[in-house]
Amino acid sequence: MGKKEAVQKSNRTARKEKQKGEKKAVKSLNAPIISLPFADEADNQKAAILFDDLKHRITLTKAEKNALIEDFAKALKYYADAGVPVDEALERLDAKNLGGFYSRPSNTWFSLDNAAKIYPFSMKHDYMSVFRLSAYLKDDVVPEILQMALNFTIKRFPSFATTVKKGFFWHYLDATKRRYIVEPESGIPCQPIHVGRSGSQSFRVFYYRNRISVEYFHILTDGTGGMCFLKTLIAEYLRLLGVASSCDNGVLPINGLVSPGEIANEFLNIRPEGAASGFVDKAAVQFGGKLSRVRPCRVIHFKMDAAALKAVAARKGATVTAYILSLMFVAGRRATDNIDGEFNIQVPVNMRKFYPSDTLRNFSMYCGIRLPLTRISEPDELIPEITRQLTEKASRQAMNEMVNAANRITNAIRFIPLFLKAPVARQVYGFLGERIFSSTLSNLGVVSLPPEIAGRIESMDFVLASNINRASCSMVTFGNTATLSVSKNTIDPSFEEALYELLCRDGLTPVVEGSELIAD
Amino acid sequence: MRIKITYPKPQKRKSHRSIIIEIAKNLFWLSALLCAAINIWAGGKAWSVIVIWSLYMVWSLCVSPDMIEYNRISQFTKAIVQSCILLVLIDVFITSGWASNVVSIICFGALIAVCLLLYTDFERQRRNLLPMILFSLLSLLTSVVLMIISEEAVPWQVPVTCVLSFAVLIVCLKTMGGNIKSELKKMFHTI
Repeated sequence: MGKKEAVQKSNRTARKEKQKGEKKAVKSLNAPIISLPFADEADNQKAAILFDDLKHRITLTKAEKNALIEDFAKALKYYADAGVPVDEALERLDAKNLGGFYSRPSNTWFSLDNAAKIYPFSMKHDYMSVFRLSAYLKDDVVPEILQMALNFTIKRFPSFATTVKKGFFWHYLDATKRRYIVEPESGIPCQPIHVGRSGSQSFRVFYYRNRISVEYFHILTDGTGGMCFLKTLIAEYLRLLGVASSCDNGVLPINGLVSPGEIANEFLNIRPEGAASGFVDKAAVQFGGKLSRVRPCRVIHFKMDAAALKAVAARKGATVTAYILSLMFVAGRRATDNIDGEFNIQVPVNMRKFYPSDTLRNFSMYCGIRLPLTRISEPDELIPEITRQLTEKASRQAMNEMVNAANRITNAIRFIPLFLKAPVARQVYGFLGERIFSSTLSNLGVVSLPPEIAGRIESMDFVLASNINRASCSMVTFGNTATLSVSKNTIDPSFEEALYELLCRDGLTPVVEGSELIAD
Repeated sequence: MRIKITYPKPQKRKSHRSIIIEIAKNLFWLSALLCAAINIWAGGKAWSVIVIWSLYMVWSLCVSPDMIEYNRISQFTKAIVQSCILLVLIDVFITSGWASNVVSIICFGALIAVCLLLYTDFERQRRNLLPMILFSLLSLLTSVVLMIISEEAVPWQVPVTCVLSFAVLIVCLKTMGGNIKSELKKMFHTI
C-alpha cells in the first residue's frame, strides 16, 4: 500500500513538475510557439533545455530574439526530419556557439580604412560598390542550416556585424547586434544594399539551389576578407551538416578570439617613403553600348579548365592575369566604334603580398593597364606590353606611392566636416573614379580550402559591380575550375562574344553560365 | 555562345527612384537657373534665393534623400534645420524682423519632438544621437548668440530654446550611459 502510494505520489509530482516546466518554457519564451520535433518525449525534453538556455543568451529586441529562437527550432526540425540523433543535433546547435554576441550590448565601432573612405561618397541611389563571392556546393543548400551557420559565424567578424553611420568628420562602422539574415536569391547580383536604416546590414547572404553567395558593400572588406568570411561561413554550414573540418586555409575558428590584426587599418602602418602619386589620369575610352538602367543587366560566367588556362598563358609567356587582360583589350576593341583614344583596364593589387597581414578590412590598391586603341589587334602582340606595365605599375614602389597619396589626401581633409567634404568628394570621384578606366579585371587567384570542405564544393565565382564601365571582369579559381565572370552594364553582347571566341580560339572552350538579360 | 541560366528570373524592380532623379535633376537645375536669371533681369528683392533653397530642400529631403543615416531623427532634424534656414532667408531677403521669434519657437518645439522620437523607439534610435546632438548644439549656440547680441529684450522663446537645448544635450549624454568618451570619439573621430 505504502509502495503504491509512493509511486502515485512520485508520478503526480513528476506530472506537476513537467506541467510546471512546460508552463515555464512557454512563459519564458514569451512568443514563438516552439513545437519540439522529436518523436520521443525524452528527446524533446533534452531539446527544451536548449531553448531554456537560449533565453539567457539572447538580449536582442523581442522580435529579433524570437526570430533567432525560431532559427534554432527550424534547424532542430530539419535534424529531426533527417534522422539526426537528438544528442548530435544538440551538440551541433550548442548555444555556446552564439558566444556573448547576442547577449552583450554593442559598444564598439570601426573607423573606415583609407581605401573604404571613398565608397560612401561614390554611392548613388542605383549604384554602390558591391562585390559578390559565391560557392557552388555539391548538394542543394539547406536554408535553415545556413541561417544557423550565419548566426554562429557573424560574431567572429565584428567589423562585418556593423552599420554604416555618419560621424561629424568621417563615416564609420557602428557595431550592430542583430540577427543577420540569409535570403533566397531573387534578383540580379550586386544590386545596391540599403544601408541607410538604423541597424542595416552592409552585406547580404543569399542561397539559390546549390549556391551560397555573399554580397559585400566594399566599405566592409576587399576580396580577400570577403573570401575568408565566405569560407568560414561554408565551413560552419558544413559542420552543422556533420562535416567536421580543420580551421586552416583561410577558415577561421568561429569561437576563436578576434585578433587586433584582423580589424586593423593596415594603410596606416605603411611607412611614408618616396613620392605620392597614382590617382590622377585622363579619361579612358569606354566600351560601346548604351548604359542600361539596371546595372549590372547581366552576369556571365566563363568556367574553364584551370590547368589548361594556366598552360595556355604559360605558352604565351604570360601570367593568367596578363593573358586575360590581353583578351579583354581585344574584346573591348571589338565592342567599341572608337578608333582612337586609350583603353585603361583597372587591376586591383592585393597589398598583402607586399605587407603580410591578417586584416579582413580593405587592403588593396589598384593600377591601370593602358593601351592605345590603334595598337590593339591580336592578343599575343599585346602580352609583352601588358606584362611590362603590370610589373611596373603593380610593383611595391608604385603601390607605396599610391598609398602615400591616399594617406596624404585623407590627412589633408580629416578636419573638414562631412557635410562640406561630401559634395566635393562626390564631384572629385566623378572625375577620378570610373571614368579613367574602361573596365576592371580583378583576379582573386587560387582559393584553397581544407580538404574535408573542398570535397563538398564544385566551384566558386566572383562578381564585381561597376557604374559606368560597360563590362567588369573578375576571376577566381577553385580546384580545377577557373571562373571568369563578366558583369555587364549594357545589352550589347559584343564584348562577351568576342571574349568567348578568343578563349575558344586558344582551345579553352568555356562552359558559359549566367543570368537572364534585363533589357530596359 | 549559349548561356545556361543559373540565376532566378529577376523580379521587376519596384524602385523607380533613379529614373525620377534623372528627370528631376534637369528640371530642378532648369528651374533654379531660370529663377535666378528672371530675378536678376527683373531686379527687386532676391526672391530667387528662397526658391533655390526650397528646391534644394525638396531635392535633399524627397527626391534624393540620404543613403546613409536615413532614420527618423536625422531626417527630422535635417528638415527642421533646413526649414529654419529657409525662414531666415525669407526674413533677410523679403520681410524682416520676425525670424528670430519664429525660428526659436520652431527650435524648441523640434527639440521636444526629437526627444519624443528618441524615447518612442529608444532601443533603435539611441544609435542615432549625433544629429540630435548637433541640432541641440546649433540651437544652444544660436540662442546664446541672440541673447548676447540682441540690443532689445529678447523674446521669451529664445531663453526657453537655450535651456531646452541644454537639457536635450544632457539627455543625449545620459543616453550614452557610461560610454560618453567612446561615443563622442566615435562621432567626432578624425582618422
